[in-house]
Amino acid sequence: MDHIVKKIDDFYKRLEKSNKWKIIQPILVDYGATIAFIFLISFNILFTPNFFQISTFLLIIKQTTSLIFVAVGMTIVISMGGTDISVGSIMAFSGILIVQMLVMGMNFYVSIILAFIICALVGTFNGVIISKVGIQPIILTLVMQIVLRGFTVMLAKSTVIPLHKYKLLYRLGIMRVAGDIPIQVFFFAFAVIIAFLLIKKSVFGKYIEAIGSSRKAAHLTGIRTDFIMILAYILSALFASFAGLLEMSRTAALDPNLLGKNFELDAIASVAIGGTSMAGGKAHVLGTIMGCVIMTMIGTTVNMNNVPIAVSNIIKAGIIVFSLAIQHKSTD
Amino acid sequence: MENNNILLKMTNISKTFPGVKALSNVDFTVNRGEVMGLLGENGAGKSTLIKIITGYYRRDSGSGEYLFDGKPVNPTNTLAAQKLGISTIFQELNLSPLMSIAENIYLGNQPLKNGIINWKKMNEDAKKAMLDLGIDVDVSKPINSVSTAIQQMTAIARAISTDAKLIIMDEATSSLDNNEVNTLFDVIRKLKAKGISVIFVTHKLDEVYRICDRGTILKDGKFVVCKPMSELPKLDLISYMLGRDAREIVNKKKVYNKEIQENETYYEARNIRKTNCRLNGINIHIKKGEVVGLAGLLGSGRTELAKVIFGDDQKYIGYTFLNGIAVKFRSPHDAVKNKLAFCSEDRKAEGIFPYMSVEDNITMPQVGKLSKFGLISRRKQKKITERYISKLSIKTPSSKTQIRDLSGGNQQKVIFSRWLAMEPDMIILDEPTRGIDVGAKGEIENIISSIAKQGISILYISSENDELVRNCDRVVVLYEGKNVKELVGEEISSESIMAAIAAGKS
Ligand SMILES: Nc1ncnc2c1ncn2[C@@H]1O[C@H](COP(=O)(O)OP(=O)(O)OP(=O)(O)O)[C@@H](O)[C@H]1O
Ligand SMILES: [Mg+2]
Repeated sequence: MDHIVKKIDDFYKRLEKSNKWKIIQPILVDYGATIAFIFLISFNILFTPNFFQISTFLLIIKQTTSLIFVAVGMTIVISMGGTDISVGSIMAFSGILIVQMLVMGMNFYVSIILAFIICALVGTFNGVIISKVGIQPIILTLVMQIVLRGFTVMLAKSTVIPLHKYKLLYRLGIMRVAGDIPIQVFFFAFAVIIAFLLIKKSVFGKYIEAIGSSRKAAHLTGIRTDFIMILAYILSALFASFAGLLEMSRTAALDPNLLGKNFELDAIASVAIGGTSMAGGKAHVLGTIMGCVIMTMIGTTVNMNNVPIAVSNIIKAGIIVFSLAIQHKSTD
Repeated sequence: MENNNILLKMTNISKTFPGVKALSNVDFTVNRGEVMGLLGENGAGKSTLIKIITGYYRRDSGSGEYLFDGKPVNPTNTLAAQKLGISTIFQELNLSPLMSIAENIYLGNQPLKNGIINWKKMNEDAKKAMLDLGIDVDVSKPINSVSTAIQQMTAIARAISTDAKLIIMDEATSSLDNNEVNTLFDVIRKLKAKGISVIFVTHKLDEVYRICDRGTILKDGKFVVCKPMSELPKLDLISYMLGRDAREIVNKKKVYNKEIQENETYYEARNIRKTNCRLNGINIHIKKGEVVGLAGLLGSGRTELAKVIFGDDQKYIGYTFLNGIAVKFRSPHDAVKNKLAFCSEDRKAEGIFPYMSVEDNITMPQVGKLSKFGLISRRKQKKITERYISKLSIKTPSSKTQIRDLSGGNQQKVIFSRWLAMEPDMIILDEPTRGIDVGAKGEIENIISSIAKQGISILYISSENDELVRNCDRVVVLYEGKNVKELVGEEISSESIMAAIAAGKS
């Protein structure tokens, strides 16, 4: 008899637990990034020497800015039910285009605009093929990743190009405004505002989520689904090309093999921990931005505590798997 | 144990969702070999109760008792319930789209040979199972390539294939035509003879009387009454469901207005053909403010015609006119811009945005118009939504609730509101009352006749002839992609529609 009572008791304990999980799980999806963020900050304040300083804070923002731009584009594409892993290569491609045009003696601003236009065309190509032909986004953008990286290395003749002699480009990387604030901080703020308006407040953002929820229903509601999808890939490419410009100016060099490398992974990870649904239909802008900062801070933390950099990649991969596992439970 | 005839006994069951008490202290019993009707308005809690029986949801902890076959049970998922002998066909079909019919029937239960799946046996068994249901179909086809009706039958075959003592059908007939319903009822009678019990959920009250032995009625999550169907005349039944006198609903009739036929033609399609021979020269016109019904069997081309009209299907030849001017819609976007609306029959795949709010679901076609500089006005969105929530009495905790948390019928009302809110000139309704309770059906029919009075043209597709009789000024009968008969005003009756379909056949 006791045995049976114990069993029933056990069962109810498990039941209660699972009910709790049902409450905790959506909170984890929505606020996972916030929790991880607070955890990282506290960890650093406690253990990392010289962490709690305004300069560390500005440094983190400075390092995160290019990733933010890529991740905003990624948030759009993923919440639409797609993905874009060509962004890292687009960063490098945009960089090499700008540098090549500067080498030819073209005006700085003209070369930037031309490079962005070319990258937008790449995005258009991605969007058209994915929406009209119906090729899996991950396959097509993987091909683009390889092709564009190849072009970049070819144009750079496989050498690292130092950028010190291109004055405007170099200055963009080290510029400080309003006293002593790095220009990247303003770009950071700009990205946050744009992302918020575009994804959470605009008609376009609503259409993106609708397509991610149900492409067929969106089509039958009168949304021009193909057009919106193409637009999303164009935006993703444009954000990436701008990130390429920022990143190469910040590092004052263009390494055709390394510029933008792994940015697609960091961006996807940021989106995932931010709570955007990987299956599409729900975008979390603030989550993504927090995700980006977390990605940078993992690197910084590892670095400042003298742990090998490879560890940070392991942590990042763990984070992606963890947040996907949490989300998976929420879909049924 | 006191009564061996009882198979399922649930007492005092409650279920709370955030913001909603879906069930409070419900009692429910099913005898062996009995067909039990589970009835009630949209959102009454029928599906929730079923999901508790099948272990998909847990009842609130501490509430009530659940006995199956005389023993207290607590299945924790649908597979566990299946092992107990409870098999379910859910309202929202849960099939694996890319797998074949045979695989879907035997999923998790495949016949094995030396540890690997015995495909040959599986396909043979599946073929036989479908033939028992009167369906002759290639069972190796992927499930997403066959019609909704066959998908429905697959789910039924799946439920029967497991050795069940209790089979639950949550609106299993909503997309079947009359013949298929007859076949299904034959199957249910056979199951009954074997001592298997069936719980049958439907909003089609005629079916309740044809197949159910007893009926349990829920209202707002509470138990109302459980009686043999013979002691439950239709008027009482509806009154119990709605909680008020239902006489006006039952006795409603269309008032014909001959003058409508004098109105100008709003929409016309001439000689519409499709190369796949699903449409073979259809002619149809709709006047301003007219309600035109499209009758016919499944596969007679009604939905295909609707999709051609709405610009979703380009692969056709023929001419279309709006207000007498030739037009060609290249996409639904064009149609919506010209103030056409289309309410699809497939709510789950083509209607709802599951993870979006009720508010977004209602205002999606017009968010463009509700915006300034591309930014949406939340205030206007909310205003429109609240107007329709009250106008159609949509049961939802708030306008921000995700639509997938609403009951099936309330989802349908949301989709209907979506198109009313955009103030169309013409609206195509493909089975608009599917899964909607009698009360709401009455409300929706009233809205249809009032918008028609405002001059909106309506194309009304329905498999339920009495619905066409109640609502239409004119009924066009389709047979194999051709219009075979047109009935106007007083000529419209269930019998005349049926006769026209039968005449088309010969
Ligand atoms: N997962 C959920 N989260 C929150 N509320 C829910 C959920 N599922 C159901 N509800 C609510 O519980 C109530 C009962 O819903 P249920 O689906 O059981 O109704 P039903 O009787 O099956 O209706 P219908 O005839 O429209 O299918 C409704 O008010 C619904 O909004
Ligand atoms: Mg239901």
